[in-house]
Amino acid sequence: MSSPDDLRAAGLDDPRLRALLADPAMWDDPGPECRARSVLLAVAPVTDLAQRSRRRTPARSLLAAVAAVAAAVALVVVLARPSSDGGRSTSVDLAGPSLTVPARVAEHRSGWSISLDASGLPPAGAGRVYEAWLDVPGGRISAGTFRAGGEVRLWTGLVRVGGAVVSVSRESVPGPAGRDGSVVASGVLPKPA
Amino acid sequence: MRTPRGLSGGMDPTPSDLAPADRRLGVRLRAGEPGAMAEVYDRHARAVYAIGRRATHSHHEAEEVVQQTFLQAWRSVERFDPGLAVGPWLATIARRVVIDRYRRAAVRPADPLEVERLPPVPDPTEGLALAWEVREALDSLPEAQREVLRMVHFDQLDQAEIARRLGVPVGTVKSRVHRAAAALRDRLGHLRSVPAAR
Repeated sequence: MSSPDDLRAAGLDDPRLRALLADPAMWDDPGPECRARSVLLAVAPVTDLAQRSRRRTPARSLLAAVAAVAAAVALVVVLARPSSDGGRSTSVDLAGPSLTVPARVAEHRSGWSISLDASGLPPAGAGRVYEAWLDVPGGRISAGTFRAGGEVRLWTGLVRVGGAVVSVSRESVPGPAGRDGSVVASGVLPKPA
Repeated sequence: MRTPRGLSGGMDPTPSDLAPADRRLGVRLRAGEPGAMAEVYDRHARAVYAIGRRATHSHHEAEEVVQQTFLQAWRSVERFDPGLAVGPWLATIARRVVIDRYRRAAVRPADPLEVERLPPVPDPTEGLALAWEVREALDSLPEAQREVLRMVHFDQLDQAEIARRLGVPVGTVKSRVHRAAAALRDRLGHLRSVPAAR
């Protein structure tokens, strides 16, 4: 074994350094999926920041805000319509740092279905799931879990969902009860008409 | 196979190159240059991971720390001082992420009197700054030097076995170990305990 000699010869005889060099934290790397998730969450908003700082004037910002509000109102009016079994429905785009998860909530006799277009989410990864949550007066409840991609349909038995904060987080399984992982997207459900 | 670390180009960065390069990256990040955050990830994610791994002793938990750190970095990028290096800023965020995770996971006794019977809890962030420094120093080494250091200190192999596995003479292993240790000494001078042997 040469380990005592090479560090001592270099003048590095600190036991803390030796302990670190024997720790996998110094040698293992995060996986490629971790990079995909981290950079996916980060790259696009930085681009948006650049565009904001270069192009936006106060007048343009005001116009953009007015247009955004008008578009949001129009979206709610169009989408707050009866669902197939006679209930109401509404939609919201759950916004993350660089991705959007469109969500549609529809009323049924048994409760509310929550349909997510999760095609923009990368796979949750080994030992992880995505979990949808509803924050309503009185607390937070889970609406179910999913692994990845495509159209996802979840359910909740709540009587009212208008005004609820819908969020999607990435959780470990098995893990602690309650939302513990990082939130990848969230939004507030408009009150159905 | 690991991807090349540090600055682009064929030369490995010297310690004196690292801080200015990191500051230039910080300017690009603050300006919102596309791809800057990805470059920050490629440069520093391993050190963030090291902090997470040291604090949680779990690969998956460490990856969560990495993701949360970069998410929070993005959220606070408008407050980042472009005159500063990215590394220390990111290390501070990573440390806060670790502290937050500890706070959430902390078990509070139902009976306040039980507090006195609980064993002392070590500071979860103790040594994380050193872990960051050492990991960044290791990541700045040429791959061949880093590889032999890992085989010596982590895999606990002797030089003859390393030479056999790498298919190189023992003298080559010795010189790589010597150069790697010298490079670490240059990066981690504050850990020097005795004068370097000639």
